[in-house]
Amino acid sequence: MKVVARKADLVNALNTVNKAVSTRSSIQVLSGVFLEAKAEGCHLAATDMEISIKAPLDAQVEEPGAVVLPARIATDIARNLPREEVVIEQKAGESQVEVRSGESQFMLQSLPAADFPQLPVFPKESAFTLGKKGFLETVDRVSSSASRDETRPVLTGVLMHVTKTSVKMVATDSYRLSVKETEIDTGVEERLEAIVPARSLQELSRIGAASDADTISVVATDNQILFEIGGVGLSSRLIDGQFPNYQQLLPDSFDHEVVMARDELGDVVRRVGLLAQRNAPIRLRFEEGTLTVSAESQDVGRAREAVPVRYQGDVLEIGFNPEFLQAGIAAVAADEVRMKFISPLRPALLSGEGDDFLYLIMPIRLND
Amino acid sequence: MPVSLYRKYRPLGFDDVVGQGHVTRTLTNAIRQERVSHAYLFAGPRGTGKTSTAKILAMALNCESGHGKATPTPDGTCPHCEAIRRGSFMDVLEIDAASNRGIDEIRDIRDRVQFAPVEGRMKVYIVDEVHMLTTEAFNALLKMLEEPPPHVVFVLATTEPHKVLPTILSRCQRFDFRRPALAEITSVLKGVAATENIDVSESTLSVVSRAAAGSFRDALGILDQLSSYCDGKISLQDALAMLGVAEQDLLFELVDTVDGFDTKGALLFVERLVQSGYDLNQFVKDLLGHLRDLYIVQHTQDPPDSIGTSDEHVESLKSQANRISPSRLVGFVDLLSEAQRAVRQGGDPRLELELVLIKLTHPEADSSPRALTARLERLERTQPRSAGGGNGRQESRRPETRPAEECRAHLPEDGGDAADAGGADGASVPASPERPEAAEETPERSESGMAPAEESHLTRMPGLDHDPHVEANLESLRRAWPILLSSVKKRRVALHAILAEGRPETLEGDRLVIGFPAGMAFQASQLERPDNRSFVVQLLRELTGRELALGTRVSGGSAKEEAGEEDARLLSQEEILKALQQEFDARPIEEDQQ
Amino acid sequence: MAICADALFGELVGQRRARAILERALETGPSHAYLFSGPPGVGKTEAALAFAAALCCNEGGCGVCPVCRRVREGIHPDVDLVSPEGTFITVAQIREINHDTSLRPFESRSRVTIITEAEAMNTEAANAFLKTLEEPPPHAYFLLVTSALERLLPTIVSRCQRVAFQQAPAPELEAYLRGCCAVTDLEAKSFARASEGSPAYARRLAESAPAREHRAQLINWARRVPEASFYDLGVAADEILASLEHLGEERAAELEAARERQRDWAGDARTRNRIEKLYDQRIKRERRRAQADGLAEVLRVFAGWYRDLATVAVGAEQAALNQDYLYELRDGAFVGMVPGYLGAVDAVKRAQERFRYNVDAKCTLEDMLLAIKEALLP
Repeated sequence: MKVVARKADLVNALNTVNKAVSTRSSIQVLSGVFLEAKAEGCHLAATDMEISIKAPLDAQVEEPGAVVLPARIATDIARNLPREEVVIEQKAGESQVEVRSGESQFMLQSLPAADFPQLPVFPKESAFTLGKKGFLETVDRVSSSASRDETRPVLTGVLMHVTKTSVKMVATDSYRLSVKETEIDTGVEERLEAIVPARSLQELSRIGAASDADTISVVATDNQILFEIGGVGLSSRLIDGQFPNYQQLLPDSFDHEVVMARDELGDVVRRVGLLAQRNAPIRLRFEEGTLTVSAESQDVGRAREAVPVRYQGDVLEIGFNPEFLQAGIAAVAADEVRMKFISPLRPALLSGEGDDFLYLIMPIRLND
Repeated sequence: MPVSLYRKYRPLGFDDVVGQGHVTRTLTNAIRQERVSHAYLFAGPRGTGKTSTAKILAMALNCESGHGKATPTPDGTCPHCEAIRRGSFMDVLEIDAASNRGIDEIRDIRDRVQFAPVEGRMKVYIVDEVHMLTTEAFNALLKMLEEPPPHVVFVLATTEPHKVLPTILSRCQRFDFRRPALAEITSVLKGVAATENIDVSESTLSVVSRAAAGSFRDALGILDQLSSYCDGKISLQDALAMLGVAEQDLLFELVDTVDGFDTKGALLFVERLVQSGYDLNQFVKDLLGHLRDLYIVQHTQDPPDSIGTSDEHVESLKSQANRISPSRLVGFVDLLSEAQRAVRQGGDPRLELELVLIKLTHPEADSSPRALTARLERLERTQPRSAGGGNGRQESRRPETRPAEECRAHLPEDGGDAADAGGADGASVPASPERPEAAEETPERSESGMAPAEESHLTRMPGLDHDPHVEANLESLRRAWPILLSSVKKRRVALHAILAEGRPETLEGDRLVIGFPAGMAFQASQLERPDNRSFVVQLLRELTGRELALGTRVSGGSAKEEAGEEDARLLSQEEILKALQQEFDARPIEEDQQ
Repeated sequence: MAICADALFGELVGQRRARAILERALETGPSHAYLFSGPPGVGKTEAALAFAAALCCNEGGCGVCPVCRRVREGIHPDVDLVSPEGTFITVAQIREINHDTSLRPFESRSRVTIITEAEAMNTEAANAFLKTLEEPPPHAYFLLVTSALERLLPTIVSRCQRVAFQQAPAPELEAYLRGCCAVTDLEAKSFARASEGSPAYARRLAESAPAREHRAQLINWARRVPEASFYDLGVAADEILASLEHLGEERAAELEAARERQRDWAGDARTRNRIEKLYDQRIKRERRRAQADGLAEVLRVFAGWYRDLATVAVGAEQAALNQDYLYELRDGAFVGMVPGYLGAVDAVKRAQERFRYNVDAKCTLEDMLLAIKEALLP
């Protein structure tokens, strides 16, 4: 195998895939970066067995082949190369790989490409594309509701539900639930449902932020999902299991509805929330014309703030986990947040105008 | 691969739960009367249905067919029930206390408890192996149980209820799950086999039930494995082969070989076994079961149904039980159980088994008090003096038979107990309660003065480490003195030299005085040394079962008296020696004329 | 999907029933949890890897494709080989397993977790594992391997299907040795028996002159005990211990080399530390294990010798383990000494127990030799 590339390209590609290099496995080959040179082009890949990142390498392929190089050393070398041009060559039958640039020559021990995990083959025909920016924003908003509790792995992921015309993303930790629906241009023929680990999506966000591309293409098999942005591919294993049916969790109707300025509400909740320590709830009391937000922490103190609000009907007093409430309010992407309630023991719904985003939040029982 | 049988046939409703009628009835009533408690404790051995019942309860509380109320008959198919069964229902949480035992995890629950149920009516927390919580975690749990939120039900499950804090116990409604009977397991298996179209006979199923040791899960697991191995049609041979259950003939053969004192035969037998690929651990387990069957047959007129797999089998058991003496049988069981224990701690199965067989068939090889007495027994039988009316009965006499039920009540199920961390293996010979009649049945104490070993076996739980055989009276102790000496010689040569000069002189209450002839004050004082004394006391304890104090006396009495007594001692020693020679083909060894 | 039974399980010696169970399982649809139990050194882990290969292989179990190869070498992403880190398998390891199991497989249709020395799971770990073991996702398979079935939690055992491995019967082991190594018929017979059914040990005897010599040395010591003086016995104890020192060094060196290689490849300090720690534990463990195995071999040979004396004394020669020493055995065995031989075996057993509690090796060995001598006094 022999390829000729530019130093900057090489460094770039290595940096991109390095995030997926395994830090915990004792299988040596996973500490390596896979380099494949084909007639059509060259690419690098790394995997930690949960996520894999593949990055194209713009290079001249003089002789096709594949090899696994030590990731860290290769990256350090690449960064320190003296010249713009670098040649990477592995002679037939040898296990060492030569990296040379200018007068500088490195011989590295490599591992056979055959030892590297086989990345899945994704059926490109089934891919669908979306606008990158919108997609990643959605991902950020929704995935923060995912659970971090490993005893229920299904909830640590984000459900992606794709039809011909839309992509719906849902996440919940059983105390609050976020769901956002986005329209897409070219959907999938068959309905696709995949539960993607939240961590993988975080990684995706980072890749997306670093890329200039406008669109993101998505395709999945039974076991993995692949996101491609500007040639860089992130694939992730899917979480096995049945995601809760969020539509069942959404109440059919609500008894009370209140609309408030988002920022204002957010500020109040944040302020008062300072006194809601150690899992003390934040209390919202709606009465004719006024919302009183209060909180109390034993041995610390109390807080209270009243805000005018357009509210009619019986007094409604409901408690929430302050962090979850704040997160929900912040996630609404509109000037005003619409809140819907039923009763102090039923979930409440937050949403914004013109934004297909819903945030369902479970109340905390108030001890009176 | 389809779901395992155990998962597939997990009970879906209270009616499906087998063998815990007292639990399910009470629960369904409570639900009907809307008096469901906030905290339950399900206690009992593993595999008896605790978690399944907890899940059914969760379904009962949340099933949609209840239309807002709990229903004693959840339909199992509504979305709530489905989710609960799958483990994905948001409001039913299964927590394993053994791996989440700390205060943090419980605090976590405490925080979550505040939240109202997301989809269902009631939140149900199922805490498994709850006894494993740390003390702090227990206390945190206690707080929750003291002030339970109205929409929460706790189901605590444990295999060791005695380890649960009493304060927690008092706040829970407790249900004890019992181990199912063989018949119950068999009937469940029958039902599953029918539904799954598995061709298997009932007798084969009862072999499976036995192997399952009181656990439905195990039974279904075995059936699963058998069914896949045999492609749907399971013969008795298949079951026995897969379970590794030794062919019955082998078991009979070995017992006869041992009974015949055929060491060579026994060792060759083991060799054959090993080279045929038999699992020795399984074999020992089966052997213990076989010995247990023999013991039962020996002691009952009417063996219960669980004994023997067929009429011919029972007949063979009876005939073998007639041939082998009960004390030898018990000795066999004791040694074998000990061997099992040794294997559990890392011993080699083959070696342990062989040691047992050699000890049983090569009498001198076993120097334990039990064996000593056994040898004495045989001696007694051959001594003309003590052939009085009593001893003849030892061979052919059968202990008074007792009704089968009583006997059965004392038999532990094959499972052993949950408390035994090593798990169940083999049955130990059951305990017979004290039998006061045994004393009456003993005919006039013959001159031997020894309680026949048999009797003492029957009146005490066999398998006890210390099987006292010698009566703690002076006469018996004197008779047993040579044996004691030989036992000491094996372990403490120097002490033996001292003891050989003395003999039991008086026994007052619990104090045994060893008398030494005049001029042996030094020896007497040596015996008084703490380490020597305690050694002899220990030995006496092993022999008699009694804690005797030891004293010494140096004689100052007339030589004549002593001579007479000396003679008596010598006489019996000589006789014993002769008998030893006769019996065991022993070669006299010069330095020890006992 | 056809499985190539021979390609997969051909290396197994004398495990007829276990093999039949596994082959059948692959044909009819395997269950999700298996427990491979039996004496050490009979091929349980190899069988587990082969079974795992069949579960991942695209051809259903050909045994030769790259997938099968990587699985059997332990480098396939979907087959996880778990062994104790230090003394126990910890709850952290189990949590990792649980996590990995919750994800769909990377490459293949199955995700297989092989847990060797499964009895090393401490209670916390075992309990954390129960739920996953009982209701695993459809793609997940668990193969537990143990030589100490009695030490496993019964709740774990009952959630698995048992596959019992045995001592390989001598005739099959003999045939195996004749096939793989250059040995005479007598040697094949003797090693097969002396190894007590462990193909690994038998093979070592057949292939390694030092291993054979070591065994001969041990038997020699065992024979000389009765005539040896107390002083001699002290020396013998020292010599025996010395002979064990080199054990495990080879394997430790291998691991150290692997650690170096991996450390050099590691990306950052944290990973490097992790790898260091992992390997350090492994190397320590290997050394400890080699020592323990060495001592166990000493005890086994000694116990085997005195047991053989008893066996030959009662006329059951064919059952003797050391068939290549029948001459010497016949010479030294007296029926009247049988109790003494048992006493000697007991002395070895007592030493075994003391080793288990980590009592000083030299002291224990000395006491053992003395006790044997005493037992064998006429």
